[in-house]
Amino acid sequence: MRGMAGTAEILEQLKDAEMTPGICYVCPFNCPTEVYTRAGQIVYIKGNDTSPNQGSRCIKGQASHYLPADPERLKYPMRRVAPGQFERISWDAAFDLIAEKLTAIKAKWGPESVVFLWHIDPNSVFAHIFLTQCYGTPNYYGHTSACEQDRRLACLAVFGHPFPVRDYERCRHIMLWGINQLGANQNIFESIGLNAALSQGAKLVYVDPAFTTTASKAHEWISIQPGTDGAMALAMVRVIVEEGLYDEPFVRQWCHGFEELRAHLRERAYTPEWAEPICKVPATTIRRLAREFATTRPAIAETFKGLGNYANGLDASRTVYILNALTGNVDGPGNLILKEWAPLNPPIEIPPERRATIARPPLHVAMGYPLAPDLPTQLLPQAVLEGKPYPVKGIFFQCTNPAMSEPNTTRYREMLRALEFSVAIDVYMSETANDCHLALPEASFYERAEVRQGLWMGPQAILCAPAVAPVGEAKPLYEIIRGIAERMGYGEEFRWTSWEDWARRIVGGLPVGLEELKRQGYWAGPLRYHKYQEAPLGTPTGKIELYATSFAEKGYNPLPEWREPKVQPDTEYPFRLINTKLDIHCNLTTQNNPILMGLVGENWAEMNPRDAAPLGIRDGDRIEIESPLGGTTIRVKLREGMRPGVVCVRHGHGFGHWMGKVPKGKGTHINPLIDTNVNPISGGIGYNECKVRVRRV
Amino acid sequence: MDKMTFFWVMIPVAIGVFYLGLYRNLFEKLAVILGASGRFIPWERLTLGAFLQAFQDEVLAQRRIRQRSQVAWLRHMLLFWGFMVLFLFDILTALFTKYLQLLVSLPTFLEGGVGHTVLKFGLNTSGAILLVAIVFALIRGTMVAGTPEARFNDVPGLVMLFLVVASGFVTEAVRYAALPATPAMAFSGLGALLAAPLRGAELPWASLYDGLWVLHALSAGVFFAYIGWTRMIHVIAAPLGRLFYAQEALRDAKVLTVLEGLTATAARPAAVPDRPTAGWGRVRRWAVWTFLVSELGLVAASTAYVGVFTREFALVVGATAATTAVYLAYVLSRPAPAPTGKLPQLQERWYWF
Amino acid sequence: MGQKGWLFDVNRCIGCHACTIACATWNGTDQVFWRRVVKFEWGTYPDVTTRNFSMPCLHCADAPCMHACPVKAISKREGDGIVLVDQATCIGCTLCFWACPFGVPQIGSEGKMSKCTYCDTRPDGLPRACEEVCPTKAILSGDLEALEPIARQRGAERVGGPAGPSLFVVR
Repeated sequence: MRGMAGTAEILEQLKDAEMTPGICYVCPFNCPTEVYTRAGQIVYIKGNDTSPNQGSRCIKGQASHYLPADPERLKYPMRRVAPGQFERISWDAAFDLIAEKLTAIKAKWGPESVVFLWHIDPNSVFAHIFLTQCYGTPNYYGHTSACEQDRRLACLAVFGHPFPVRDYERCRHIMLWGINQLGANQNIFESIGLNAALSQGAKLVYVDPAFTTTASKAHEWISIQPGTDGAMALAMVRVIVEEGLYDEPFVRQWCHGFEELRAHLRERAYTPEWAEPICKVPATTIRRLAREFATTRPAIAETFKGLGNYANGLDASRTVYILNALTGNVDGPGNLILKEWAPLNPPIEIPPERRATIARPPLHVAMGYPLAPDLPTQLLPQAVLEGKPYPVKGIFFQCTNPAMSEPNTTRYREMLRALEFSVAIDVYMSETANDCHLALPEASFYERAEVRQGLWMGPQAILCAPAVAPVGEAKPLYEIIRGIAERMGYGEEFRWTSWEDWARRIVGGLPVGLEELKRQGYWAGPLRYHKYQEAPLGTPTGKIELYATSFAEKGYNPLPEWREPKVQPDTEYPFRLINTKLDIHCNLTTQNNPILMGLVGENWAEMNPRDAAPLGIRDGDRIEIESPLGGTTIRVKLREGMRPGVVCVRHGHGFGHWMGKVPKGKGTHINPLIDTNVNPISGGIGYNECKVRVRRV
Repeated sequence: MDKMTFFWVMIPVAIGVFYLGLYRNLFEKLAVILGASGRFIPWERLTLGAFLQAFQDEVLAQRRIRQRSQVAWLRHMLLFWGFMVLFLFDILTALFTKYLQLLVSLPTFLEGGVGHTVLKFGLNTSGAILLVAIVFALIRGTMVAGTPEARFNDVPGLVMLFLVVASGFVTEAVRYAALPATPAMAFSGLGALLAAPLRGAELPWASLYDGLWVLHALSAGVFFAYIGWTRMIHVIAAPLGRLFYAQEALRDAKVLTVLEGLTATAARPAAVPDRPTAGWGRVRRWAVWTFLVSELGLVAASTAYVGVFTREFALVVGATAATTAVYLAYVLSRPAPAPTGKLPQLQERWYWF
Repeated sequence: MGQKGWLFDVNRCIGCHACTIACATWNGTDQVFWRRVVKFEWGTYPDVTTRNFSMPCLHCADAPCMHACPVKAISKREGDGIVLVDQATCIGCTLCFWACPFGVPQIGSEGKMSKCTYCDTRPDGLPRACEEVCPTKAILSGDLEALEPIARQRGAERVGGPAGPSLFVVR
């Protein structure tokens, strides 16, 4: 294993610095880090050597040390006095205002009219406790509908687990559907594992219309018709079932609904011949891939946003997980691991008699999405502007920037301006914050503490200690929530002298104490396999569900079916607009980073040369992309590694239109072109449900 | 031998010594470049625009020094522009006092009078600026610079240049001191200032003047010769290099060509560049031809001062011939430059990287 | 201790640029990147390949940059053969860039030559900054002698040429 013992000591000496263990927060995969500081300044950062990430970082995390040094950080609480104009106020004034508004909203409309949207930062558990247990709103939500809503619900439906982790290293056959595992925003230790597997001769099949980094390492690239992965997966499942290639004893003992699945596949005739004209993959290939997958053990079939970006993504994802289930590739070495969680406690306790009662159902249930693992955020404007299903009057936006990240941007900004009360808690004056009543400066992940679940295969707890002082008057989220809670009568419960007090409470159930965790940066328990043999899974039947009983209960089809994507290109708009992530950007924290922006000045679109030639478009030209909803211009790169008929935008830029000097005026924001199209069961956002036409400017 | 003859005999020799240094420290380096990387440099990517922009940014404005330090930039700009303007006025003076009237008849105000005063003003002002700049640079070079090595990198050159400029002023002062003061002299700034206290003293002005003139010419010649052998070569190497370095398309293409080769395999071959390498032979030919042209030019220029069918001219020609012989002998004796003396052939795939 | 060098695995590199930034952070270079990553794409749809290359200084055995420098500012360090530039002597003429077959030297913010120093302040045996953050272990540093058996085992070739670059490449 790489990572010499004592490396940190040597690096400390060389830089005359002190090492503090930290956690990177640029993307949701939260690598444990080592932060070297001297005289209150960061002089070097790298990954935590002894953690499963083996000291590795990605480019975003490695460049993130700029964040505490950025002079354009939001430093003081700001109150809006006129559109786009803010005045600085004190924290006391800010807390008083929030308490006043929350009390008023509760009195007039009820506490459930307040929504808290968070992203990534698990210190939001403080917000969760305050809002759900003290204030009385169930509407504490995250960004999942923009991220992995379909995947999460699919995993919950099939395995009863929200977040399986991939044991690539011991795997022999890997089939990835619309997940650029070696690209941006992935679990680094999984990428290390995938590379190790490939070195040991494992086979990788990669399904995606775009030839991404992962495609370049794959043995086979299946350039599938966008949005049709569900059809191919169903055909593969049928082959495995009909040819008896499934793991019969495993299915019999641990899976529920095999007979129903088999009948369903026959009735719908989901054969490779049926799938071929839909996905544009030859039937022989589909059949061969199914046989190879079923007969090589261990194997992993995995998916992520690539499928979830279509309104049919939920069933497509479910089918991919069923591939694993049918072949017995669940929770064993080289499989998808149903990760065990570390035994962490909440940081504070609200005694039962002080807890609020929640009167109304959560928004997602009231909206008609009872199974949605997170709020279908595209339906939030309806609640604000029309009061459906019930009025939403106040929203907190913590570390989330939906004015940029949600599609149908115009409607979203309309919603922001119509809110009775809105508070942004973030590190920059983001585009969303610009439309809020109050913008509160949050301390970055270098400036505050945190203890949370790690995302390794087994139970893992990771700790972040503050490395440098907060910028300006920025406060960690726990201090902000404390300020509000105190004003609203919960000061007793939200009481601590230092972060170690509540951290000690969190790690109370671990076999190591806080001091050891502070030194090491992380704790990991033993990795156990085949846990479904010991205890029932989180599904209604306790088994792996090929037939989703929770779906049946709510009146949805419990078996996966094929539906076309909602939006199809036509003669007027002949291309499908898809997007892939640009490796250097993830949400707000990277936008104003001159090191990253210096490497990649702007984002671009990618097209196949055979599409570009008849339009007279050359490599490097500026083009206009137009959908029925709107248009924009962007630079184009022509590449052979893109399926014809597709325009793929590398997204992550276009944030600079009013935030920060570095990205100002650079790049293109394509979200205004994309209309609202959500999955009818999960509420997940269909970012690729967009048809466009293209011309040279 | 009168001082003019001395000058025209000395200058070709000084330029020869300069060329010797230039050959060793620049021409041979160019050959190393062409030998090691010539086939990877896509010359077709050169653009005039980039050259012009670089000329403006790096030669005229010296932007990069300013980026590093405002003080260093000021110091260097004074040195550079002081020297350049002084040199320009030197040439103009020579032109207007000697050469042009060989071709056309010039109105008197250019030969003497106002025109001459303007030239003198230019020479003196730029010389004075240069003097101030050298003093600043010497202070930094001896006392302020960081490491002992850094301290003495530039000092010898600066001291030599100081000698050249100072001797120039003193020479002029002595000439003025021998004459009564005139209003026009005032335009000669420092020269006139230095002359004032000397005027009236009982000194052998003529021989003093001649001696100082020779000192000035000799020190100038030695300074030029010295450039090729030391760090002062940056006056040629740096602008040359920076003009090419500003060719971003050329630079990027050079790097990418090689990297593509490193990632290519037999199954995925990269395009082999089909450029012949300009080797050591061509560079050596350039080094000889530019030298010969320079020397011949100097010999031709000397004729305006020493005549053609004269003993003095014979001395000039003799000195030039001797210098040329030495230079050619040196150039022919130098082995092909490193790395290994063997230039790679296009067919050898291993050289691909 | 002998000549230091690299082993780079083209098949493993995913072009993530973490090495570029780690190097820039450790060495405090802000205007130039000493380790640069380039992506190449070949083929026609759908038979397409891409590969990445991460290029530091190769600390060549017979470095052309050293031979091309007019003021002898470049030298090879005793013992480990790391090629270093004396910033005080350098005149920023860029001849070294043109001489280097790999185009490694760059002009930095000081107007002098700026390039990878093999993390020369790190002790022998400690990974280099680029190496320690690479998620796919595509970069390996060490004595060429020690890298040789690893190179053989992984099917790497020693990069050739008269400059004698200290690099094994797996591809």
